[in-house]
Amino acid sequence: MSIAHDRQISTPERKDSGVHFADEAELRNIENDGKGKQLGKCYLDLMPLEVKTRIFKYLSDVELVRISRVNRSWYRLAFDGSLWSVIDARPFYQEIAAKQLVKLIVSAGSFLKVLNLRGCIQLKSLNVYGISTFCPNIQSLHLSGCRSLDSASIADILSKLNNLENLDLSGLLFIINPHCEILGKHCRKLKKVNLSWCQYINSQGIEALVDGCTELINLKINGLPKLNETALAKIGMLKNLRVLSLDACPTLTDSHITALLRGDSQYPEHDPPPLTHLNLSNNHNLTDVALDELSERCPQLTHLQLHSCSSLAEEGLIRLSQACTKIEALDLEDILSITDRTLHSFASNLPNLKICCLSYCEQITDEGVIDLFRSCPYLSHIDLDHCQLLTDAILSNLTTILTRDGSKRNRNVQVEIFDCRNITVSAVKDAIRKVSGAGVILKVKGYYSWQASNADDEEEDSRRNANGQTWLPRRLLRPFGGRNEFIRIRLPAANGLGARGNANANGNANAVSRWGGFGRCTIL
Amino acid sequence: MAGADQKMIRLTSSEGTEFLVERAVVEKSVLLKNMLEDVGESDLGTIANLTLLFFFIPAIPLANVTGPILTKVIEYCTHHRDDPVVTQEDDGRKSSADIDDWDKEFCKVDQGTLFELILAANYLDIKPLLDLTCKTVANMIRGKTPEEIRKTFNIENDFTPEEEAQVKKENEWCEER
Repeated sequence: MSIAHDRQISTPERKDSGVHFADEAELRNIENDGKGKQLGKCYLDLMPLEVKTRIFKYLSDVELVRISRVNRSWYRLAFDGSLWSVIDARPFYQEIAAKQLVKLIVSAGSFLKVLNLRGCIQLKSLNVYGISTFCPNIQSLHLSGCRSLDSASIADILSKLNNLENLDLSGLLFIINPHCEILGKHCRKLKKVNLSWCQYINSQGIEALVDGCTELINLKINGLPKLNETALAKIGMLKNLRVLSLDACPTLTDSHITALLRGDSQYPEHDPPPLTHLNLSNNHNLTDVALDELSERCPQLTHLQLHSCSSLAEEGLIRLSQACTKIEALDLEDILSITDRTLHSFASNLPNLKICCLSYCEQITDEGVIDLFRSCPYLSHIDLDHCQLLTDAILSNLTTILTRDGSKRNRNVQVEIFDCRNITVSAVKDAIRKVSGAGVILKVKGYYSWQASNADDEEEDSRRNANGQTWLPRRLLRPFGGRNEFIRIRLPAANGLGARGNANANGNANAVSRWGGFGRCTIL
Repeated sequence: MAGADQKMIRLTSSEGTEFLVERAVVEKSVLLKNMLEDVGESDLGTIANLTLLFFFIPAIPLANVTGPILTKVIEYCTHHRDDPVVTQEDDGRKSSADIDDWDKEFCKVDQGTLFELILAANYLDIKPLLDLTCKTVANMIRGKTPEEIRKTFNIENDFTPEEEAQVKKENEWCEER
């Protein structure tokens, strides 16, 4: 088997320079003799093993593997388990062969705590059988996109990872109910699970998972097509559940939300879970009844995503904003019933609002948005794509508000206005110009292909202009790379980017796609 | 150099050179801090008159540290005396975040001195200094080819040609990037 073979490449039985503690006298002699270098002495070899390991800890995975070519003792040291408690293959997942990847994992052995193999399609089930016997201490495992594995190998891995706390299997279609049973039986310490788009899991699987893993804090089961009320009621019984994502679960209705928050006939009346982050986007059957349940049972909500929940009416949102006043992030994209009345209600009830997505809410006007700007001092990001009624007035008002006093106010604001026909380029430039120098960072993302921002220093811009490389300052051409980071910083709990995000979130996607994966404000 | 009521400690290097150092500076070393705590406050006394009481100050012999290195260590600890104590986990890989200018300048020494500093920091248990010096060495390794590394640190290549070829093949994936 490949594992055993790999282990033997480092054969040498030389004096173990690693364990040899430096002889101080020896060191000093060298020093006294003059320059050690001329004597051909290697100081590094005289260091105690722990020091060498400490030095190597500052190198990246790739650098570490690269230096294994120096000599035998470096080879041994580079693959020392203690250096490999985290293996994150994302920077090199495309280059590395399955065999080498397995070699790293096996070298890490019982030191391995975090293993991220996202997108490693080169890994076949044969490669990974038995891997978890080498690495029983893995706490965080990320296998989404490893589509060359299969049911049996994943079951084999999971059944031995008793210390697992964080698991991502999203999008693997061979994940089925028995895997959930294994998780419920063997991985009871799980705190964070992502089974999104594992379409063959149904209520039964979720129940088995929730029954065993009672410590769950974060559960993402986007896109599961067959969820019944009982499954939701069981999820609702999780005492620590703070983050729940149910994006695009086609069977989801109001009665599911009731079951989640109150129990159903089988599991009646339980306290609602302490949810702070909830994603119910793309569930077209949800109505105001669900919102009213949330208003009543989840006043502690801080992040709520409801984009494309087309059956929601304005009244429900208004009542929600009156009840859940701690809300910091709201995604209401494409809820056509929203008007300025909703925004006024947000403005007077949600003082902590930081992120708000109102794209495609075509009925909103300048008045509502300006009220929001005025009343929510922490507002840092607002999406207004395709809100056709908005005019230049929102930008001029925003700059006035931003440059005016108010020490409390957040002065780093991003506004997205793609496809707002009544907002002109000159208004954007005006706004940017007005706020620069006032200690305000304003980024406006919009118009065909460029982004405006005053975040860069002017000097560089003028230099580029002088070089004649481009007629537009670089800041206007730069892809809007910050957004991805922005979301991650605001919401440390979120590592997935939603279904759309998954597709291109690998690697350096944020530099490449203008707004491909992030067309919507992804919060959860 | 010190206030009249500043507690002082004598440190003796391997050659017997004595250094009079403020206790707050000495305590950057966890080894010495613990040692002093074991000895107890009362034995150390408060120094009212340096010249008079000099010989009553207990001396701590450091047989593993030479005078020049001890000078450097004291220089470092004095500069960083007011830094907050960071207790970070030792687990896993670290980022080699930026080194500030003073530290960078401090580490501009020949390799022998640098490695002796590492040993001293390790022995005296001065974590920030150990981190700094290790980071400096890591930066010397970073971005170099195996051959350049061997040259920098005088390392002998003891792979047989067959082994070398195999290791090279194994690691092909991380080259040329």
